[in-house]
Amino acid sequence: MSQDNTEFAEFFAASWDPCLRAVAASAGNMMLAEDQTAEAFARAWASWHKVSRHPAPRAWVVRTALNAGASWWHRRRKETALASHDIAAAGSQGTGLDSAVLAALRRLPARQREVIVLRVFLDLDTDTTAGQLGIAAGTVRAHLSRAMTALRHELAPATTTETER
Amino acid sequence: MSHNEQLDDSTLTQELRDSLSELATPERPSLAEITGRGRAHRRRRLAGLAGSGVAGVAAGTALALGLTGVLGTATARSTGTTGAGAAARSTGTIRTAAFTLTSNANGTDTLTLTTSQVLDPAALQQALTQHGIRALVKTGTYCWSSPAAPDPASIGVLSVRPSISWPPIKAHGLVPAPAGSAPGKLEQIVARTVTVINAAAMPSGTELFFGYSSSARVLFANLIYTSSYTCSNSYSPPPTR
Repeated sequence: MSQDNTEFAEFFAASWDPCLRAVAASAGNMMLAEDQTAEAFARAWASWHKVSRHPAPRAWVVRTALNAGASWWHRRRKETALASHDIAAAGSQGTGLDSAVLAALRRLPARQREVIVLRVFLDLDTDTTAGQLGIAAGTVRAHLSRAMTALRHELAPATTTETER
Repeated sequence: MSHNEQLDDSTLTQELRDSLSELATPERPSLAEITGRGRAHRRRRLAGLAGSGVAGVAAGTALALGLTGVLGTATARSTGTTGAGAAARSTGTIRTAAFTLTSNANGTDTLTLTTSQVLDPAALQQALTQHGIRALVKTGTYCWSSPAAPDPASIGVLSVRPSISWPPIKAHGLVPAPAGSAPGKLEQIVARTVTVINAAAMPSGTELFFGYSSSARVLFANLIYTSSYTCSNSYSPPPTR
């Protein structure tokens, strides 16, 4: 096995799970996330010479997977039949994707969700996140702040209600 | 940010990470499956299929899950020589129990169906994708654009021989497409037909739609606009206005 293939194999083994989880949390469908993530790793292998030199290869994979998902859902919204709702429901049952926290995450605007995925799930720093998204570091901080405020607001009512008794 | 907000953010961050770690995830695919998909991606790139066509292909392949083994012959397809100038297509065949898709030296592809097996739309979609053909394949569903995209036969995208006369096979309860919302006819592909696909003749922004009737073992084909089409699981005409 060439050095490149060895490096990719190691990267794939170490990164598949965290990347899949990040994609699934954002996409809300584990079946879809699995295929999107596999496709993204396949593209990473096809462009490993470039991806291996990327400042955040896992972020590259996750963004590639989520972009593929965006295209997929854009097409699906145009269809008026088939069991699309059943497919979406089946993909999230029993996986934990329906947790209140992750459901609240998916209700965030896309950019705020992206920042959460990169900063919190992939644990990238602000500057690397900014580079990934093509925005300023200050904008990353602003999106993160708004996202956390929105999530706090969404998740707080259940606990505040209990404390008021 | 206040101290309390910082604490809340820490707690919230931890809750997010905990939710992520609690997700039930499927088994990791094999490295061979990933590299196989990667090779297909490289072949498409080398064959000069970059740009919007690849983006549409990527969306289509998201529907095709776990097709290793079905497409084993596809991985043996040579990339041919690219050299200087235009990329040259090399011959290659994808063969499944239900269909065979063969690349021809002149840049077209030939699709034939077998008589005995029910077609798997995901397998056909994946095969068409790997041959660089923008297509959407569904079972029990008919998709169309309004206004209609050009008739694929009349513009040289599809050639079905022998040609099966319109309207569709009524013996199986199928009726013509909704009037006014589809091309004047659909191409019908059955086991005894030879279908030649000329993807290069497809107008920009269009893709082939293949709707499969498993009861009739018929593959209906037309062109749709990728950005604007409607699908229905009923072949019945719409209510009269």
